Amino acid sequence: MNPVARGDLAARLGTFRGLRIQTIYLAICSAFLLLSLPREIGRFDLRDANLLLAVLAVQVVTVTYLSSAVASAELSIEGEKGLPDLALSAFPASVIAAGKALSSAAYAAYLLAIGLPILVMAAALRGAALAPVGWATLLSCAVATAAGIWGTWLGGRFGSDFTRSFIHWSFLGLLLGATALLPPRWWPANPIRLIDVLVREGWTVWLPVAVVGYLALAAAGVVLTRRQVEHTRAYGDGA
Amino acid sequence: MLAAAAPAAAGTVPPGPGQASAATLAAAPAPASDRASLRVVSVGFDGRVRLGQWAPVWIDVTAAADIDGTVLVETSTPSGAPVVLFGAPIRAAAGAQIRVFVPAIFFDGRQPGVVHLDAGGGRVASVPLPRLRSTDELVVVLSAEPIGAEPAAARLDRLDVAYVAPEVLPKSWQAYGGVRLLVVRNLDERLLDEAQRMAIRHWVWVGGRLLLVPAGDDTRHFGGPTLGPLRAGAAAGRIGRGAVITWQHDPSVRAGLGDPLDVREWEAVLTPRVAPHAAGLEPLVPATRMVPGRVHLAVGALILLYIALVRRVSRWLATLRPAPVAACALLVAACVAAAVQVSVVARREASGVVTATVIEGLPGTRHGLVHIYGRTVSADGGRFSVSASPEMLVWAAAPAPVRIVQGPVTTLEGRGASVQLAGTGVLPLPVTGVHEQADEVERITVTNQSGLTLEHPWIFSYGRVQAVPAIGESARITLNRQAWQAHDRLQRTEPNHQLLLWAFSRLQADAILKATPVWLVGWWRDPAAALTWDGRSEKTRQLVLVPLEASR
Repeated sequence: MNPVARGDLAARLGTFRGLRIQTIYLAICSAFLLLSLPREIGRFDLRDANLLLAVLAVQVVTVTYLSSAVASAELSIEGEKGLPDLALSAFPASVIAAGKALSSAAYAAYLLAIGLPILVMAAALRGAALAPVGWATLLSCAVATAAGIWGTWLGGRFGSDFTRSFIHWSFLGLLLGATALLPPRWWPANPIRLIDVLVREGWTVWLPVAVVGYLALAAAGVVLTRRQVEHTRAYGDGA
Repeated sequence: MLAAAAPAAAGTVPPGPGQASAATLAAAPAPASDRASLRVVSVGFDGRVRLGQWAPVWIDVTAAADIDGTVLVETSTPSGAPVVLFGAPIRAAAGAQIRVFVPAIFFDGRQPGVVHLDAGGGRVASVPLPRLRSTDELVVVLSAEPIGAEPAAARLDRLDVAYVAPEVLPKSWQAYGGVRLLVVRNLDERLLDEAQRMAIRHWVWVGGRLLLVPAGDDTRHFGGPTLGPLRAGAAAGRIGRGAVITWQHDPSVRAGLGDPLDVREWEAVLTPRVAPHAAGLEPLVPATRMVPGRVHLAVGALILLYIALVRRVSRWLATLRPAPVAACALLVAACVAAAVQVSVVARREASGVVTATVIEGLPGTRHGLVHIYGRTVSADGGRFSVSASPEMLVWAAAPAPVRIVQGPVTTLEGRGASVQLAGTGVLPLPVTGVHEQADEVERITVTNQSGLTLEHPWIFSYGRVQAVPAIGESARITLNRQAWQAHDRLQRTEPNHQLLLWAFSRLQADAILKATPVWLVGWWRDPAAALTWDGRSEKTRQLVLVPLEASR
């Protein structure tokens, strides 16, 4: 296994802060599940799609944020090495970039996997179909992977915490917020809008298009990360 | 054939013993089947029914092989609304002929429906029901001779008169729906079973009117096991909501003379009865059903357990060896499967029946008339089964494709998120009480042998109400003169306040109930009057109205 990915995953899964992040993530998903449990049935429809959409939207936002924030060191985890540290190591730039991409994808998949039982329960309690949960999970994984690799690049590109955080949040706002303001024909560009379509109407051809798009975004992030490592090694700073 | 050949005025010619089914026998072709055959013996009262009301159906099943199944009466509607199935279980050995009683509601007299015999998961035999004659109300007569009620019946509300034999009388009092008066002139007690006797008794208790007349000078049937207890229990001809009227002369002697005096005498007993229907109860059915707190607690506990498990597994997974990765994948798959199962259980727990149930004491009978209005609340909108004690009949209050089988328990099966239900029954109400008033002191004494505590009771007296403490086995309560309130100005007292107000209004307005001025009104949870949802008893609260006798 890629040594960079191995080191990242060991830190994210086994350290105290890594576990705390997982716990907070599960607590957020659980809170939404419990809050959406109806106190009584009959007055509104248990199969209400809005509640399931809310839980899935919270999940994609949370996983995307955690993936990019951990990768960019906005949420630092003891033992995980950022891009500036790795640039000083003997690993080739391509190994570092591929390792960071792999750890982002694996971490996103892990977070989604441990949240899956809670999401399934939220859907099954309403008698909703489980397929949209699976498709939303696939989409969330692609989005979070792309966000993770771009977060890695941010962590290497900007040395200032404030600047990095500002750009990180701007990036998330662009990805999850600004795209929602586009005209309806562009709504599939927004993950939450696309999940809305998946929950209400089921499978759409925009799902594979979006997944491919986010994977392309992730690939672009890998290229930028590799160049950033090479740049750091050549010039000795992150600017 | 008798009825078809010689209808007499608005009625029919009285049948001889064992002939009651002749009219419908001819209309019902005998079907061929390897395992069993069906024969429609009787539908309604001599082929007459009031559409939308319960009516008796008698069917003979001749088994060629062992049969363990259900006889179903499938009733259709002219509007094409969902078909309703009414049934009764049957078990017959090869060669046996069994007569089955099925209470059913008909919606179309021209094409009333079909009778089926289902057994072993398949349909064994079917036979169409004969065309029925729709009527508003009926006078049902047990007599070997014409009794002369037809002119008065035809003049008064165009009532139909049906002569029937005792053996086709219903086994459920509800199946007397549409019968205004039951006249008994000849009664061979051997032709009735205990269920039919109880049905007559309960029907009178809930408002039926029974006229006993001698056959010539033969009055033996007045004191028989069917009518004797009713006559003995009736005070001044009244018992419960109903009446037992006795004539000492045989009306058949002057039948056909058209004497105005006779017509007037008949008109006196044919006046409309006060219907026992609990009008206005439907809107009081609760809109929702609470999801049990244990469902919330169980889901919360499982989530905490899951988070703890993930934290532990995550440390192990951090080693990134193949075994932990595989184990983690299996764990997630198992947890997903468990989540689906937990959801199924939670949804089942959250589904059920919401009802407004009133048990109205029938004065002088130590029994109560149960009115149930309700609806199903199903989380998944799938199949459901609602059952009630055998004394109860439950049906869909609004057209819905349901199957109602009255056997050891009454079962209503259907599907859908919400089906409106109605139910009635007569159940023992072993609560008695006396209201005493001496000088300025008012006191009530209650004896409660039900084993249930009457919660949040009220005393209703001449339109005023007063709350009293909960009543266990017995109570002797002095009423507070300062605590009386007008029943229609009562402030909200409890979640079922509207039902309580409805009961007070009924006690004040109902022509029969208001004859008893003082009532005890309270709540309990009697399993016999409760409905069961998919095998789980719905212990809903029931409002109980107990008449209090005036101290003499």
